[in-house]
Amino acid sequence: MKEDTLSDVDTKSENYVPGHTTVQEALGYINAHLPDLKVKLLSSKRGEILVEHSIKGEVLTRLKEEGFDHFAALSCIDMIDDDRIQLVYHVWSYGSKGHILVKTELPRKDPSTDTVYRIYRPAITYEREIKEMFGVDFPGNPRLTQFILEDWEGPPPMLKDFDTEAYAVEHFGIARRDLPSKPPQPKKGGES
Amino acid sequence: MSPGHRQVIMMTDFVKKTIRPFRALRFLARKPHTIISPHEQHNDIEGEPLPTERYRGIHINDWETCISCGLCARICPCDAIEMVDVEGEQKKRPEVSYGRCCFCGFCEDVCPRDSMHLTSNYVMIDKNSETFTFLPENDLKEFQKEYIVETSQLRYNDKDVKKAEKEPSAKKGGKGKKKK
Amino acid sequence: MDDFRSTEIIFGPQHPGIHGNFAMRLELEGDMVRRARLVPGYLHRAFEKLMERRTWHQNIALVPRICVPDPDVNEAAYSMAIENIMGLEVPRRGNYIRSIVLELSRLAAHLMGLGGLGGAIGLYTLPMWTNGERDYVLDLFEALTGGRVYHMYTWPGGVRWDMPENWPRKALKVMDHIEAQLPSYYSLFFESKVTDARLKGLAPITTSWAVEHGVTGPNLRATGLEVDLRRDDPYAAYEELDFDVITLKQGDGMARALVRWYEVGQSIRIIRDAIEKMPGGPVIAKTPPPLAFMVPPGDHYAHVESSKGEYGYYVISKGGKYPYRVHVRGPSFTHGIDVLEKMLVNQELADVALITGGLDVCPPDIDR
Ligand code: SF4
Ligand code: SF4
Repeated sequence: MKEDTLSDVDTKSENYVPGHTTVQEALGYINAHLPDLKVKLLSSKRGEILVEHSIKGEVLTRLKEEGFDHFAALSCIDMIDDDRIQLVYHVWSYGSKGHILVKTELPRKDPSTDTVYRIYRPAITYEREIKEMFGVDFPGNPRLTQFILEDWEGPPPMLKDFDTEAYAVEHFGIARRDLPSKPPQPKKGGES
Repeated sequence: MSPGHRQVIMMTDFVKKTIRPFRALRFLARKPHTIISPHEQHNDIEGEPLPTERYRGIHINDWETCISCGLCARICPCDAIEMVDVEGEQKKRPEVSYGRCCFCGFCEDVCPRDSMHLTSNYVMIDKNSETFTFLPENDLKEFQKEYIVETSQLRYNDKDVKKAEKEPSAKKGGKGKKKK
Repeated sequence: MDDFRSTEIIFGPQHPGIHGNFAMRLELEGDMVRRARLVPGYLHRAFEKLMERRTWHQNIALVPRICVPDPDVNEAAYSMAIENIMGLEVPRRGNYIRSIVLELSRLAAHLMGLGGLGGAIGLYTLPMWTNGERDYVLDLFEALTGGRVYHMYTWPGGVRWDMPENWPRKALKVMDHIEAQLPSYYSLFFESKVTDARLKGLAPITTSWAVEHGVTGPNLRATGLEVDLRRDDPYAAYEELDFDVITLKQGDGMARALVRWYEVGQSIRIIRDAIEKMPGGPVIAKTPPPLAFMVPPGDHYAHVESSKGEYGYYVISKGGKYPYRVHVRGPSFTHGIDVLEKMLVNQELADVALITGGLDVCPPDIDR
């Protein structure tokens, strides 16, 4: 990967203008162009879009053009009951001060989806962490190297079926103390 | 701007940037923030002694009112409380392990009979590590009540220590119960 | 790059100049950094995984540990996410106390961060002084919350206890005291020639570059963009409180330090204002007791403005006593890895600690 440096940054001709599309307008736009997406307005400042993971890049590019240019976070949730993994892209607009959650789902077996780091640069680190903690692959991301876990051979540890307790017992011989059985109910109801 | 004018500005700038930081020298006359513990009492800005009443320190538990419900053991986020059998008692009593406790005070909040309390005493010195897992009782244990540090063990041995030694040292307020 | 011309050094985690527990692999050519690679992971405690095994309230004792200098933002953001899923309304007085606690925490964090910056320059007087003042803030925390560093005070629904009666008076006194000290600190640090030489023009960034790379908080405001979550997406009682959003244009090391400096003054202003406007009433909404506390299914992303940038908690509940998943977005996750790797390139080795400290990178945010 080419090292891009700060010397490429042109401090003289700065003209950042935040976009002012509101969440409602952005959702309306997305809905008009990709009608089979599920969009939901949660409140005046928050919206939600459910997309197929193959077209999330399109949606995110569009959102960025509309001024949602702050990539707040990329969350990964292991929905073990439904046998899928959910990725949530949080984007925020500095102009209209709105937040949109773009949710997409992957199969739980060999999850893989294209990287979005060319659209939203901060995603490069989030994807790196998710690759390590959830085992989701992001083809195209140049920095999917070892992040936090050194010499780790087990399964991705943040998956729901990774049992931390069993791992601790096996490797360190430490078990959680047995908790007392269900206590008798106190007479004077509850705490203040 | 004439050259002379510029020179004046440069001079004032020089004076500002070079001389002003030395005004800090007056801080030499101030008392330091650090205190010589245990010879000096830690006070807050109004001169009131610390720790305050709300400080979350070592537990006490009133065995008269405790009904051994075990709620404190269930809420404890650090798994520090265990309900244990006590000789001569029919009920189990909570035992706190201070290797685990994070002094969050949830056990006090959740106690239905208001018997568990966190005192504002946080000093515990003992050579035996076993003593740090114990059954909180109505009063603090002897070894928690006060602590004596021999001056010979302290590395500093300056005037302040000697002065503080001559005056009777302020005793740590320990048993204050937290008000709800 | 010719192998004989470059040296690789490992900077941290045991290095006096490093800002916390992480390491940097720096490829040097002479004194210039040509390539930087960040190595996090020394502080990984798997908070997100631990939280899935603890009840909603037990996590309150866990989350502040994510950020040592500024712990209250964690409790607040986590509680806000829960309240939003449950539809809980925090009483007004609870919100005001939250704002005060958050501002005290920001104040303490900025004092500590500026002290660290002074230390990185070699001005060791400044950290002594600022930490001395910070101690008064910790005394206030102790009197209000019972803890000095980790407070565990903000609670889903409000705050755990009301203020003691004499606390507002003490808080105002501490504020007066700190405000009176500020000018002499300013002349010590910002009027010093050394600070000028070291910080002016250090690794300047522009707004578009910063937005592109996910820079938030004071570091973004130092480039001239007027953003502040306290005003843009008001939480706690910030909507009713008086304060200015500090912005500077230069985007260099000096601007980043100065923004923090002016925010200390704004925090003092907010605390005074909140104490003055403090409404009466309860401090906590009626909620079920902690052991029977259930949160209905739902998800919410709550974010707050911390002393370092945007802190976000994405909480997912599937009903029941435990969170299904909590994702923590720490500001240093972007500042500390990608941004820093770029900013360090073509800087001198002596400035590495200064740039890291100036960005206020906090490794626990990265590792969690
Ligand atoms: S919660 Fe209170 S009453 Fe119940 S066992 Fe603990 S100390 Fe005793
Ligand atoms: S203070 Fe907190 S950690 Fe300590 S015993 Fe009580 S509940 Fe457990």
